[in-house]
Amino acid sequence: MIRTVLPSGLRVIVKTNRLSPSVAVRLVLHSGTIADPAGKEGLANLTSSLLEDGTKKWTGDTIAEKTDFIGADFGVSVDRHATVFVASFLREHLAFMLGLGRELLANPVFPAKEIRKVQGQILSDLREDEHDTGAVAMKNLRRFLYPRTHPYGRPGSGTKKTIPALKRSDLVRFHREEYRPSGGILMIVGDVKETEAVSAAKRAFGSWRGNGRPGPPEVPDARGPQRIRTKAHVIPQKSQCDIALGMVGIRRLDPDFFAAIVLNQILGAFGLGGRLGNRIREQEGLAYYVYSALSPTVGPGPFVIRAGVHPSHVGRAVALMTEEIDRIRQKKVTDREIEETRRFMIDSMPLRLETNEGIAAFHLNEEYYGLGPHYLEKYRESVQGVTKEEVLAVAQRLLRPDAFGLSVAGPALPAPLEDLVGPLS
Amino acid sequence: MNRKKPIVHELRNGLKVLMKPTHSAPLVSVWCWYKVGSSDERPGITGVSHWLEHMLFKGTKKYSKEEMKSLVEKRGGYWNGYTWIDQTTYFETLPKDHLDFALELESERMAYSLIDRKEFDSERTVILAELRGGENNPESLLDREVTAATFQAHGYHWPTIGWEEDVKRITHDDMLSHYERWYNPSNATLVVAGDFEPAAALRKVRKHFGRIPKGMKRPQERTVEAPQLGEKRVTVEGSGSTSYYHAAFRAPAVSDPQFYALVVLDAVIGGAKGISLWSSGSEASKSSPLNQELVEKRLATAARSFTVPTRDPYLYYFTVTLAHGVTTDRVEKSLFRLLNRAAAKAPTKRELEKAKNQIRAAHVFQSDSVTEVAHNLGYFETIDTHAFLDTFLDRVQAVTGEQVRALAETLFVSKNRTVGIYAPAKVRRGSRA
Repeated sequence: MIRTVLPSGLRVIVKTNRLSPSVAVRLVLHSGTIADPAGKEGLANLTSSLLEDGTKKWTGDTIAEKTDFIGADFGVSVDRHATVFVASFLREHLAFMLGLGRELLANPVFPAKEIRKVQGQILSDLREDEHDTGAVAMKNLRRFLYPRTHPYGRPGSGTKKTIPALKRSDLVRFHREEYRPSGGILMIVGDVKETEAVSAAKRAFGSWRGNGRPGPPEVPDARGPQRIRTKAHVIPQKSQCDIALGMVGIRRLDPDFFAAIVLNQILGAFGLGGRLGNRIREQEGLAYYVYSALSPTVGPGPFVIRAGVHPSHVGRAVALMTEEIDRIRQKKVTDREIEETRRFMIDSMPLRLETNEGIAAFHLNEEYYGLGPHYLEKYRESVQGVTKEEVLAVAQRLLRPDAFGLSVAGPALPAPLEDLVGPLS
Repeated sequence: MNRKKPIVHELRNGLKVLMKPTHSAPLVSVWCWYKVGSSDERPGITGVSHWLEHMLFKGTKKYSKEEMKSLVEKRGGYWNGYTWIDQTTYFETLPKDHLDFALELESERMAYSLIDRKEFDSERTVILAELRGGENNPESLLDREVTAATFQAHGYHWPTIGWEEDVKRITHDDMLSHYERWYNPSNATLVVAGDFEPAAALRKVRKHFGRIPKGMKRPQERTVEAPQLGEKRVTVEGSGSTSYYHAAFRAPAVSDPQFYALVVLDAVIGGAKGISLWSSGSEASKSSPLNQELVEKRLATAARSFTVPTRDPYLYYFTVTLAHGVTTDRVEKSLFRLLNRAAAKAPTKRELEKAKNQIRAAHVFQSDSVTEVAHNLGYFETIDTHAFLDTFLDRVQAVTGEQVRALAETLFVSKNRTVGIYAPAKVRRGSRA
């Protein structure tokens, strides 16, 4: 693996992987949705969606024709903290695809006609989401976890109100202020010679300058709900309810990170959904999917339990979730649970590092959070070092059976949601 | 990508073994395929293949249900299974030292699964939850209705998960006889890909599978769906404010020489997605006529086309998410205009070259893990032959523009088509269902 920093501050990392004659590229800039100005929610999203619709050198049609002709896949996505250019292609197209990345990120022109089209598409997605039980459950849960003033409490994809109001000048300004190479990370993995890929990256990105943020922006803490807060949202003519129960989780650089990911595995991920899967799916047959997910990121991402169940089973499923939350913070996990989970997390690394995409994701993470050049070894040691006591301590810190958000979306429930969970709390 | 042919063996009990050593990562992927899918079922027990697949994660003679939960994970691997219209399959991908374990697990599954009655009962509600989760999605509802309308006689008529009323009634005995009938060496294909030594692996395969009795194969004879008499149209009313439009054309099976022209035709119209089952959800490529005519002209916010390799003739399928305020008539007119164009005029040299480039690239992207390499071999062996993969790219290369046009002319006629429309019902949001 080679790592180098261009004079602009763009970090370039290349790793050879000769599994197939293809290459994966990811370029990360620190311009996420949390940079949206108040009242202009969805601006980062709209800006990134328009990059491929025209640059100084090429029209959107030309870009589409050129990339489609060589069978390359590419796209630009945006999350809370970053805009990411992602591409996969056959190895002979490395120089062209890096040049394309540069053109999209540095020289977009935002044609007015295309802006209207993409606004229409985003609005249509938002309308579809309003009738998607999973999306509605998660959206309502977020409101319980983060106040509107918190960067994670704002709607990153925008709203039906903000999207139509965005103007071309907003996009141009956002791009000028937020899209900078300094501090960005370019990861290239695949069937390439490392030195040649570095040269290609220099040719494509060497002359792109601009000072932006050196790293991801600060994200404040969030307390999360201090009691049980519930919301049931009826969507008629659906067959099943989506449940989202959650609290605020941790940051990626939290000292309890490793204990927390072991905790999440045991609670609702390992095997067929950990303890939650065992109780709710295997023993009681209430759900097809049930799991917990911890999303440690720059700021404290959510810790969420999800399940899809029949309206008449919502009360029972929630009761089992809170029982499991209570149990894992009352009593240490078993020897078998912690040993098997650690084994899985360590021994599955070759699998995670098999494909170009997997390798790119791992090393990008390492660079993004500054985890150090020997992170793979550190990861193994850290996971191996997690004790039952640490898992108990982090469970007590993160989980409370009497303080969480509970959001349900789907057909009408047999009784008000607060009555269904009432006797528990 | 390693284009070497796999090593092929057949045990005396009829088990077909395909081995593909690739030493790119210290992993092995083991897949066990059964030539039975939902289309091999009969009315009354629809969904039994899929339900059985769930039961095969719940204990064998050697491994209790409790042990089975973490068997593969604690060895650093992952595992899963799926059921579709022509096949049921199980796999595990894990560090190479565990090859023997993976083979033993699959042999246990084939011959010694517990299928405990109590577990069977409790799984019924899990399957119903899976079925209803699918119904929550308007497009999967519409897909189900369109497919059912297209096939009247063939087993492709019912969904893989089964009809809800059948799922409520299937008995434990139904399931046991299904397991005994289909889960036999002579009806199965075992695939191993990854970092292993073939001779030693074959010895292990013999050790674990050699003594299982042969059993019966899937019969060759199947119901042949008669030609349609005219266009079929179905409507689904449901929640939401978005309309969806689907059009399905009956299309050649994988063993039909015209299948290659179909893959190219689809790449010309909507961009190539590769031939994996997983790629059928991707949107039409940006420069494709399908995207240009519908999405760029703002009649739709998304458009897709796909065709999946199947044992018997299945569907060439189009799905459109309508832009707000656009009627299904307008979308239909535009879609048919572009399909008629494909039937009238052969693709240009550049269009053809572009389609073939895309197919080649997608094929490379879909062979970049031992899991996918093993999957592809077993997939094609189960519906036709694994040798399909040896010549796939060459046969695609040989497809001419005129062949593509001629196929379009045969397919895109009203008598070969089923149209599905999802119309949001006018129910006030937030009211009781």
